[in-house]
Amino acid sequence: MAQTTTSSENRQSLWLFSAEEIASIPPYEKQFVRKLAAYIIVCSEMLSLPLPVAHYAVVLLTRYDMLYDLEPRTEAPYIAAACLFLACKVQETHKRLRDVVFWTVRVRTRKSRDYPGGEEVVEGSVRYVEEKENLLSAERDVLRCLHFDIFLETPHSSIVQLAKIYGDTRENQRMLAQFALNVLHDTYVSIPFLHIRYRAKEIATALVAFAAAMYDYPLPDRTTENDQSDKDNRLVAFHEYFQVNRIVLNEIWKRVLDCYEPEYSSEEKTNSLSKEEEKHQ
Amino acid sequence: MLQANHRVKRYQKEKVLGEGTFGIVNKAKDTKTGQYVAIKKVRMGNSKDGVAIPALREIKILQDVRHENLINLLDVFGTSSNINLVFDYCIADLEQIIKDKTIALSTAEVKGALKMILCGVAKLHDHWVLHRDLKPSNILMDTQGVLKLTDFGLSKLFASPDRKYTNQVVTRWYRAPELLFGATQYGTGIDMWSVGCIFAELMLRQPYFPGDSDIDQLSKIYSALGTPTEEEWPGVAALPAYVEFTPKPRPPMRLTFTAASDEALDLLNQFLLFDPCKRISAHDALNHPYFKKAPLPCSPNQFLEKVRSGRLLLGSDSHHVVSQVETDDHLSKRRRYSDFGKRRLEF
Repeated sequence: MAQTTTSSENRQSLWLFSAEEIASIPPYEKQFVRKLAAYIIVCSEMLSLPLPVAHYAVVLLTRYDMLYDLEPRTEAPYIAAACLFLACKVQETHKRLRDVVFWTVRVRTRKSRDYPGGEEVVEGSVRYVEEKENLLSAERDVLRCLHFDIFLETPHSSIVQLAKIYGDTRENQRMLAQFALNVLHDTYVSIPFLHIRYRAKEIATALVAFAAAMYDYPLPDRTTENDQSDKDNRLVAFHEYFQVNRIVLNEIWKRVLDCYEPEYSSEEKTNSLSKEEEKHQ
Repeated sequence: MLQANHRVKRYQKEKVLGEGTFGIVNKAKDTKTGQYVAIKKVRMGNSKDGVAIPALREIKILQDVRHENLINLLDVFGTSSNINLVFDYCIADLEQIIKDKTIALSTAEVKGALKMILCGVAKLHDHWVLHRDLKPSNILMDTQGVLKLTDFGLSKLFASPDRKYTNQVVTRWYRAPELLFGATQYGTGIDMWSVGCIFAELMLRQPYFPGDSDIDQLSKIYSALGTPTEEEWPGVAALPAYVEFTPKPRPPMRLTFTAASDEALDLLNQFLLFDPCKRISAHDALNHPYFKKAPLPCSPNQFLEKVRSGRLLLGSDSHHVVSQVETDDHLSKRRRYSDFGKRRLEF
């Protein structure tokens, strides 16, 4: 059965920006946000955080940037660190403040002239107090600027859900989910604005279809009935499960392929996705 | 896109409604809508780890789950040292209603109250949220007589079946036996036990298991329900803090609940089953014959009328001192950090 939209999804759509709004961001600012997203991912690895927590933080950061430009601001790394700290709390993956301060400062200052390996800020030192104050102030700033709207849906669970529905064997399910989740992770670093342009379920559907295309795994593209006697037990087309528009899917595929050039953005793969489109039309 | 919502001097504080673990609750008037609201001010000044996690939990869950029988989060805003959560204004809590002996609750009114509580709990469980602190004082009644669950500071998602959780949740009198025995893997059963205790309290007009300590709590539960056997509750002896009690027989519930119907006792029994896996779910409880047989559950309006008939709400809205609630300034105002962190961001 196809899924219907819920009130929380409708609220999420308030945080989606138009293509024009995103296109109006200067390239240097986009690059700056990408750097901050990469900073969040590295810090999360150092803190042994699950990837969804880091991804959550990247979306908070992009939302913040859309409302309050980050680019010229010296405090931007604190905002990024605060997004990560906040994501830990909201996603119930608690990390001690001293650890977050230690690793965010160390990653931020590494390769600098004074601290080639990164500055180590120890709890109780004057530097620790300064850094802690900045981080906590940034945390409050992020919350306030985002209007305390901290409920956020990420595509992870929808990817797993789709893979389980459309993968015929356990192996295929794992293959679809793993590939889609890998690509998803890359999108948070390479094209973080994708996540404030499209709904989580649209991204999930696009990435599962992308994974299927990469492995030449056929997905049902129109409503088919597995069992004529049981009409409720039918397998809907992959894009109909979350009611995703195929034009939107095409847009997401193009954005994803662009970030993989030249490795995956081959004519062949683009054509295979387009052929699917033509077939549908 | 989202517009910055400037709430300068929007809320006029009228009086203090109460003080909880995380801050003060004020009654205020929303000058924009003319409605009364409750503003829960969460202190942040003493927090070593920044914004308090219970406040974030409460915001996240209430933004995600919305229902008539759950408190409605209308707005959130920050001031210099607090987060302010703006809720629907409620006129009383269930504890006050139960304690006010001038309010004689009929079977229909007990049913109506229990149905509203169960609807709220069912909605939470549908969204994979455990309340983890259900008790009469966390159930509020709004101006229309609708009961609403509140205080989600201990709430938690329970989507991962193998994940371990703390057992230091739920106020002792409403705490399920598996929590008292230190279980770290639990589910909706802990909320259903609490609902059972509240149901019993609505009928008795006093707490059913008022234990002084965890051991006394278990003792009171066993005195009322008998000691569970291994068949009744498989695996109880394997729980981390399991203590063996001298076996006690189960006394007939009818001795305690003399006026209750058979359906009421059956439902109560199903709420208070020792084995959490066998305990009734909120949806099943709503479909129990107790709610189908006459007298049918009363409407929220009828419940409100009954509460109004007592002493509880007499003169409750007099002598308000009007003052402004501190509100945040223009959101687009940019703040900058000093390079050495000497200046803090205003908030």
